[in-house]
Amino acid sequence: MKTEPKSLCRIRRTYKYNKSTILAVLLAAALLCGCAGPLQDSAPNGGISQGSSGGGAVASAAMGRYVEEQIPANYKSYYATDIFPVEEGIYLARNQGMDELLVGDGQGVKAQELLSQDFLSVAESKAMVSMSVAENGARIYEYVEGGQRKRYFMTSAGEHLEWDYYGDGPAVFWYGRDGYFYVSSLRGSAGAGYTTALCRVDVETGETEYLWDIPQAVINISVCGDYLFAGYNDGHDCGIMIYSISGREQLEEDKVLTEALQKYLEGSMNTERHPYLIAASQTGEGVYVLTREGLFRHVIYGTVMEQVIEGSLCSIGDISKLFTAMCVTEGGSGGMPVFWLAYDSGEAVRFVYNKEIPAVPDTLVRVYSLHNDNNVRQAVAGYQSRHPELYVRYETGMAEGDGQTEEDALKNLATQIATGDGPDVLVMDGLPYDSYVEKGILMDLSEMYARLAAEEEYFGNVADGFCREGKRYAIPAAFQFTVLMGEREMIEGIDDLEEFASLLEGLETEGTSKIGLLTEDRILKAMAMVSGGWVNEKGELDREALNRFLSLCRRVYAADRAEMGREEVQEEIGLRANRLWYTRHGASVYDFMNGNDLYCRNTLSDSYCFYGNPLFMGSMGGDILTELNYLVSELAFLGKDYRVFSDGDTACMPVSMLAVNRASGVQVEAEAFLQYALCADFQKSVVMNGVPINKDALYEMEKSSLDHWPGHYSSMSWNYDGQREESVVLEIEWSSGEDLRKLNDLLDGIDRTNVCDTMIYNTVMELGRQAVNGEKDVEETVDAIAEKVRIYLAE
Amino acid sequence: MRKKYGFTWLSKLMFLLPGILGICVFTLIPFLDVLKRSFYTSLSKEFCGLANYRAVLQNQAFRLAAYHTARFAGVCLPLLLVVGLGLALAMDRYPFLEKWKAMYLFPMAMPGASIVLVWKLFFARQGLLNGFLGSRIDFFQGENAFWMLAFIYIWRNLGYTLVLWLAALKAVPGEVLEAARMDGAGNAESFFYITLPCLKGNCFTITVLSLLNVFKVFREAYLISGPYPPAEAYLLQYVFHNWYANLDFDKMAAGAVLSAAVAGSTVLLLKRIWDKGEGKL
Amino acid sequence: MKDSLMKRAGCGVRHEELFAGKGGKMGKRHKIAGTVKKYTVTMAVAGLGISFLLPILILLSGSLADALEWQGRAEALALDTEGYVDWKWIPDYPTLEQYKRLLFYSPAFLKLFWNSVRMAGMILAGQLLVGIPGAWALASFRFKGRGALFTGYVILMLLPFQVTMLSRYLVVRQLGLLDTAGAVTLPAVFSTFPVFLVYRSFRSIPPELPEAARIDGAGEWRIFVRIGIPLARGGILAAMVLDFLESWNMVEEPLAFLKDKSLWPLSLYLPEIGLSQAGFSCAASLVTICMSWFVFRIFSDSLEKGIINSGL
Repeated sequence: MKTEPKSLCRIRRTYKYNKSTILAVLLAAALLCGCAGPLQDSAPNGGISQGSSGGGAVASAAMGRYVEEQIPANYKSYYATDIFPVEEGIYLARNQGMDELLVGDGQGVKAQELLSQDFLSVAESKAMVSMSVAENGARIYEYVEGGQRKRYFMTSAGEHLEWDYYGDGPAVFWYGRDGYFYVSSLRGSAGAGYTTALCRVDVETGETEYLWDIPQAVINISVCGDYLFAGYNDGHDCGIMIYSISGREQLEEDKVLTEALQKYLEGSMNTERHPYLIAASQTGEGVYVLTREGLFRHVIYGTVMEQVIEGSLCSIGDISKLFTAMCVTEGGSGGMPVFWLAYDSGEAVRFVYNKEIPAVPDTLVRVYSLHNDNNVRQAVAGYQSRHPELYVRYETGMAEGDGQTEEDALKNLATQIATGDGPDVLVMDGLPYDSYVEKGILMDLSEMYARLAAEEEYFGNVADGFCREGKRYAIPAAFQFTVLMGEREMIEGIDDLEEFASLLEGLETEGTSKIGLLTEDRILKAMAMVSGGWVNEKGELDREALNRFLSLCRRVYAADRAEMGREEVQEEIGLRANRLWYTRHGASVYDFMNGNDLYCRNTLSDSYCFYGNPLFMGSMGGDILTELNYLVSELAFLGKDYRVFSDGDTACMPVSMLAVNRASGVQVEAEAFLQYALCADFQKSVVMNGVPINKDALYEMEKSSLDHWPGHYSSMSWNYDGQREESVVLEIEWSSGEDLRKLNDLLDGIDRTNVCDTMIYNTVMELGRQAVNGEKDVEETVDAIAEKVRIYLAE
Repeated sequence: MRKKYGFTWLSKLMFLLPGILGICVFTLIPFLDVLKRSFYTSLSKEFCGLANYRAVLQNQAFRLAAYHTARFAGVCLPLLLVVGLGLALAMDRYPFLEKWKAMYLFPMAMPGASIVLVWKLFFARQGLLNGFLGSRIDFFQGENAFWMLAFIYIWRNLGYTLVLWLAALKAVPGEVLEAARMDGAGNAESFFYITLPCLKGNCFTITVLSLLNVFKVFREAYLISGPYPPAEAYLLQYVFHNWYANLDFDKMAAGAVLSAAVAGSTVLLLKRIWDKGEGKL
Repeated sequence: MKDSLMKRAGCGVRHEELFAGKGGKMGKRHKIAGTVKKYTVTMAVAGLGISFLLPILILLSGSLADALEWQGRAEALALDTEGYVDWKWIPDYPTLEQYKRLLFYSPAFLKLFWNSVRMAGMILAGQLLVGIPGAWALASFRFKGRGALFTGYVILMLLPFQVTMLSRYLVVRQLGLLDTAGAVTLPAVFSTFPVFLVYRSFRSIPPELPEAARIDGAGEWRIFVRIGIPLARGGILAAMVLDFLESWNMVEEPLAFLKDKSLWPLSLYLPEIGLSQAGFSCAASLVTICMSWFVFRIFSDSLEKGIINSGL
């Protein structure tokens, strides 16, 4: 017995250094090398930049941050193409030649005119396409005359020399601030692949030197010292290529930079309004990178993107302002650099470091929405810039590409609210409004609304939809509605979905769809936009209404496809999938705006129609007046008309529904924020998604739109498949007073808001499919839906 | 002797103390807090006695979920145990089969999100299985949903069940079995009279673990069907989850305490049946 | 000898009846039947095993296809038409692009990967230090209330995370751990789960051994380390492997307690499963699984040994 313990203890552990261990070690090594050593990362970023997605490291009692200053320029409404430091100050170049010199003194910045008469005389009479100016006054520019591109290099003495290095191809000019203009010219096509030819022009002599070809579609070129950053996006692939100018060679990719900028590159192919900017710092190795999230400092091939300015705290985060140019100068207070930034609206701002104020203001106002909401984002940016003593933070429950689901985000929100950590302003889109009202979470806004409505006019018919027992708990900032388009006689008198279904059934088309919806999914969504709710006052499911809805959908489905064969239907669906803009509501007027292959000639009547369909339906939910311009012009072209689509009474879909948390510690500020978001000043000055709820704002916008009428707003051209030679050009005009009046009447006629409970909506969408395409009986499906909803309602 | 006893008592305590402290803070306190919440209203924190319990018991959704959870556990647990045991027996009998063990463990290593992707590809109406069979069965509705859930559960948990059963089987003393065989007992007899009784303790462990995992299957099921699955697959977890998101913390707490009580008493009952050796050693 | 063996195994069996001898049926017929049986069983076990691997094969095949190919394949699913998913086990244009993107162009993935490793490592280390000794105490010390304590441990496991999330959030917040790794690792370290698993193996150690050691004057800790752990190695390793998998695949705790995304573990990285990202997501899943697989392989051998040794 005594010896037993000892012998057992002699069991040694033998590690087999077999294949698996070696493989494991190799994998670990590969992973370590493959990345840029995240283990050494001590900074909180390392490729993941802190942003306004909420919850980032909130500063302690640190002091000092960048404050934004507006620059009082003379020619604010002229788009600024470039901004760079010169000996006397900062040169601000505008595309018509209305340049300015910004000189900063102790009191702020003053702008001096710097009009170059030699250029102005040309710019006045020509339509400038692209221009770049250098320190010495030399310019290189391109304009279009008589369908031809003409390019000139203007010396610093004012002499205009023709410059046609690229022949007829398009060229974009960039000033490298190193004594050269850089010119990029795109060649090739999507199929064969793009290349960009790069050359540079000496600003003193006008001599052109060919540099090299970049094998991608470049949309942005930045020169920082010896580095040349070329941002590209060819539709599939995007990224940043780095070149050494002196060595004429491509350098290795900077992975951290690429990762940080990738999502901005993906969304853009615009060479004028840049999704990001890179500028050199005048001292040291780093560059400054500007994105929507803020300004970052980065050492090339380093691992960190260090945030210098938080985007959401200033106009950088304002999505309605698009960047055009940026530069950095030294000599700010405390040795911190000063940043100068120009926006496409013509405004210019600068950021100066102030070490007296706290890094983050004391009072925090949290604005929360489940998904990213651009209306609210702009409101936050605007409110923040007016109140630098506050920190207004916009948080989204769901960021993109996460492992989270909507329900998880809801649960986190519930946790926050329950523990008293809840946000101050809630955007109720996607949140269970009635449930929250029941639990007494939301503040009663009736008083505030009464005050607001006394001073400015609102769409009361829309706002009233949120009253519960006479009290208001949320106010939408905007709303969307659906329009039906087709020949006037056809769509007149269609007052509810019944008549709509009958109309479709009675239509005859030759082998094409009638309204282009075709799939069960889209039909359900489109009809749901206008249908009444399916819950009665007692909170139960209204089976009759649902039954009617589904039967109508089924009729529409059958009618839509009636004239087409099965393969044709499949083909159509496949084609449309790539072209149409899938919105939450099934179809949008934006589909329409895009033109390109949307119209084709109806061989029977030799007139144009939408995809060959006599009717079209879509929701208007973006920049309303712009959409209206397109809508009216295109409808006139097609000889058709539009009306608001309704089912008995007219419904609209409210968006950006704002509410205040009753338990908030900053109720006054939160209410003030709502007031700001709903006031005319704000709503008319930004691009809202949907019709602004502030009627005064809408009327103001209409007035300024009328100023341009009659006039040319834009033009579209396209050719459609099969007939490449035939190209159509359509002029888009500004809407006339009559068109605007018609719109206003339609909006005033809205009777109710269509706020459908998310769960019921999703269930109907899911289970309704089988009723619509005939696989199941409508009664059966209503039963199934009722079953499912019963559980939900019973909870 | 006296001194040593006192000393060992302290060192014995040190074995348990850190664990118990930590458990108290991170597990016991939340547990008690939930218990407390079940007697108060959700956000306004007013005492309301048993009102929550009454509301929960009368709540249709809860009853439905409880029924289905019980059904799920009743069907799947034995199934899992039996299949696991069968496989373990096979591997025990033919030791060369043990290398297949790793394959059964793979499902446990798969992260939930990728399971969902594969599942959707596999079970969708246009998915691989339907393609293979040439049918259009909707696996996400009705009864099918229940079996799909059961399948996911078994697929995930078979691995460790197998491992644990195997370990348990190996602990059955070999000499006894040999002696039985020499004396002429057949396979079935030696199994039922020797092996099985020895496994009782382990059976208890595995059952409790599998019961816990019934609750954990929620995550995948939720990723697949969303927060409102068809009725047959509506488990208790869904109710709690939805109550939570709707800020009904009081009902959730009451429901949880009820279900924990039921589960707890089942476990205790099983312990009594299977783990009688407690305290004897 | 038989009796004492039986007693040690703790089985109460009517062994007298058994050994009364019923006469077995041995013979050549059985040998053939035996082989047939062997093959059927092998087929069944292997077949089931391979079918269990099917999802992994799907992932593998999916990760080798790039986005374009996925689009083509999954067209039926995305557009919801009548066809079927056009699946090819070997992609038309196999490419390692997804892996390249994952390993070299996604610093976020690697960062989260190391987060996961760190978290899992800390949790396992903590459980070893805290849970295993606790299990030993419960299994082999005799004291009043031991049964009740053990029952308490079991009951505490029965509340799912869902339910205690709010309360735990409050506790974690009180301790100032919100938004740090501790918020996730500490509760896991003090979980009763490993105690429960390892308890069983400790119980199977015959009590005479530690008794004897005690009489010989060994301290409690030495007994635990020299006797307890080696004998229960199999069980401990099995528990560790299971715990590793649990902590590796943790999803709800980090979501609830960690707001800062740079602290998230890998299990939360896999993007929302849109079909456009499917290939990338497959690659990411596979790499995640590989790590777990390596742990298996490294420990499985020790596991085997441990089990055999513990049977002594």
